[in-house]
Amino acid sequence: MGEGGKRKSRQEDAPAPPSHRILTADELGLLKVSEVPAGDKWEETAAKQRWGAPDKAQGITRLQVHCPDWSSDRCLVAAARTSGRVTLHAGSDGGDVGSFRAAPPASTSGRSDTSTNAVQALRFTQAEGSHQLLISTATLGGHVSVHRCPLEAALATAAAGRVVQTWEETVRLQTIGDLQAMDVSSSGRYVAVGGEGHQLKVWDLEAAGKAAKASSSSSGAGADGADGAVAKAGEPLFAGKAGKPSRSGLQDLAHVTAVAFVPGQDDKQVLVGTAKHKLWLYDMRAGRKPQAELVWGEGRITTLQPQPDGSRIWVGNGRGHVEALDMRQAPAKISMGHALKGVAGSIRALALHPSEPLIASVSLDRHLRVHHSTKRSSLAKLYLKQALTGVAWLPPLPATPAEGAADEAEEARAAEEQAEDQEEEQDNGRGARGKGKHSSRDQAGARSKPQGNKKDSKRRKQ
Amino acid sequence: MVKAAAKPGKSPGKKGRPNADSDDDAGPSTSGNVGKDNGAVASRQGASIGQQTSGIRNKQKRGELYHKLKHQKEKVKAKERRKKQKEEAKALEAGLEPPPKPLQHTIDNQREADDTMVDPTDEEIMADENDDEFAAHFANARPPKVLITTSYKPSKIMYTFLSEMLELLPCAEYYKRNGFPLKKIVKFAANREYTDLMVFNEDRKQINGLLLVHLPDGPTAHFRLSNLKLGADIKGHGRATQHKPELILNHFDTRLGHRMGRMFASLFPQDPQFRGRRVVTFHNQRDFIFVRHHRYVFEEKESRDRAAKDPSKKKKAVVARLQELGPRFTLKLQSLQKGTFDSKNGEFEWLPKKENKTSRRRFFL
Repeated sequence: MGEGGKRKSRQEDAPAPPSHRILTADELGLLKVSEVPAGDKWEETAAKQRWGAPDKAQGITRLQVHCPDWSSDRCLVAAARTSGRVTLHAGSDGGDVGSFRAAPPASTSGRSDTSTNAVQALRFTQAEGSHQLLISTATLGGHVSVHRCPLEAALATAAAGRVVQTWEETVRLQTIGDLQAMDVSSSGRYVAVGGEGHQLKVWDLEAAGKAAKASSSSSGAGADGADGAVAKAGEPLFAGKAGKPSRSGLQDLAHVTAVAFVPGQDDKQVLVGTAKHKLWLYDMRAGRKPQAELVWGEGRITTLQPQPDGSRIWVGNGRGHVEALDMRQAPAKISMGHALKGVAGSIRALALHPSEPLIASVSLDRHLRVHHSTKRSSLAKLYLKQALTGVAWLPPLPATPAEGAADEAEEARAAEEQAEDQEEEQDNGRGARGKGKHSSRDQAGARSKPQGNKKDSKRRKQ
Repeated sequence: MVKAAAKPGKSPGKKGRPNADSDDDAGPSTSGNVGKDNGAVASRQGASIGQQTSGIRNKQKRGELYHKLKHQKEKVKAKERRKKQKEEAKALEAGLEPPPKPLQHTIDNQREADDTMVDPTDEEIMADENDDEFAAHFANARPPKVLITTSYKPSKIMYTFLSEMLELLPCAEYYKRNGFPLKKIVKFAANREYTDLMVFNEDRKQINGLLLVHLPDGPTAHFRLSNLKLGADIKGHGRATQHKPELILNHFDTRLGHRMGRMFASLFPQDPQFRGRRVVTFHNQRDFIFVRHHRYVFEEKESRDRAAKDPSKKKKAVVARLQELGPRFTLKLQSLQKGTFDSKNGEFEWLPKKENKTSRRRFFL
């Protein structure tokens, strides 16, 4: 059992399981897991695992992790490649659990030019009450597609019983030309895109799905299959207009570089970042012009990362600045603040920890950085050799089945080690004991979550 | 100290006025117990003489003590120095290796460790560099072809400088700027299969900037150019020949430095003509890149052999001599941008930031 061996070697290095695991993706197509040793020893953060082989043709452009219950056995990693494929990996050891093509098939595009196949955006969505996990992707050429897989099958990424899943394409949509950014609303119904020469446009995926398959009466966030492809999308649901012109009446050329739905606004508010360092907040209920505008910094806005409660949106730009946009009084007043320092290159991706106030950033200066998102202090900085393009937090690996008990009792360490040994001996019997472990981990997850909420509320008070 | 002394005074005492002669205010006392005080102060290790004596408020006493300590220190130092010299002389006489001289501390050799130092055997970095923008050049698949142009209105000094740059770079061509915006020039040059674009900037008749764009996909480096000395102004300068020069790239050790080194190397052909004995040097020291252009010669030179007693006997040795050809200038990296020139809304691979320059011993190249 390969996984058992890996686990053993790690335990020789550090007896306790790492307190945090961070996944990064780079232009060379490598996925690297950096681990923070137990007890939050941020200074000792180091890259521990490397998944994949270096190949620039398979460079990763975007990275997303879906892990609803924060357990490493139910954690799906999606990596979008420059070739137009999306590969899926297990969050525990990077094992392959499937892949699909996000770019349009070569035959229909009719050209040999593959540069427009690079995936520009990747999102996981799961509609409420639906048992389908959806992945929405958008390529540089403006091809938006949604693939689906049954949720339970997709999340069964534990080493035992791992199956390569097939992902079925449900919606296909040809949107704008030079697509730079895409985001899907939390319900999975709306897709917002923007790009060079195009302002924000929002499509209703459900309507697109229906149009594709007019005969079927579909329900549940476009989850129904569509065999026939939609070559061209109809009119968008919403098309944004540019903000106010400058004092001398000059208008920037349309160039949207980042798009994000504002959480908790009923999928009606969209924040847009442009190459001309402007942030525009659109409200689809209010009108086509942005309801609020903010000029920030000097570089292209490269990434927007909303906090789940929608009170803040982290913004990164092409000159290595990261700040948070305060959305509490939006759209009457939006303001930037809370700068994170130390980045020397363009920010490529930001990732918020699901429960703790931590933010990880990767940039073209080849470093991964972790900051405390309320204190703003830099916690860790790690050189990862390549130009990094994606970052995500991974749930910590449970080292032993006795881990839950170890939290409370320090003196149980010796016993725990014994248990470990036993476990290693009984490796074959693990499959049978799997169920019990799952449940204990779930409990641990449930225990940690309320803590996180508490912290959140504290943050809000501050 | 005074505080401690004051306390017994406050307590209803057996002694009426035990410390009548100590001052009320803080600081070492100015009289009486100076000697004792000094003993305590001087025993502090590591403090400089000034720090040791600055607490004494009486200027005269302070001066006395200061000079006394200074004199002592110098004496000790001189003694040590003489001892070392004697040892060295002894070793030389005995024909032994003299004891090694202590390494002089420079900012450069005290440089802070950088975690991005490139290990040449690192497979991952090799894989990255085998497929980067300069890989075709190093695989001899794409000979360099450099386009040189200037800022909008160059003056005379720019033309003399450019004529020397054209001598320095064997495969460079100059085109007038003709008022074209840079982004268009980048496009034209990429279409005409140029591999690099160099744009020299001039401000008030001083050449002060260089923009180096690798075509067609970048990166773009912006340098500040300073300390320019034209070849013609260098004493004893020579004229460059038509041979392809050799290239020396010194100390481009970090990941960023490595990239810069590759960028400079891709301006020159991969096959130097050693017959020309021309060498172009890019020497990085403390993040300043010194650019020099020389001709070297190896000569067998006869010199008097001091070791041999016979004065007519001569020692033969091969010595290298250099003749500078020029121009000479210094570059300082201002930014490295991914892709071709787009300074307003491009993505930067590296930008100097004050917050990152935490120490004068920290360098990035």
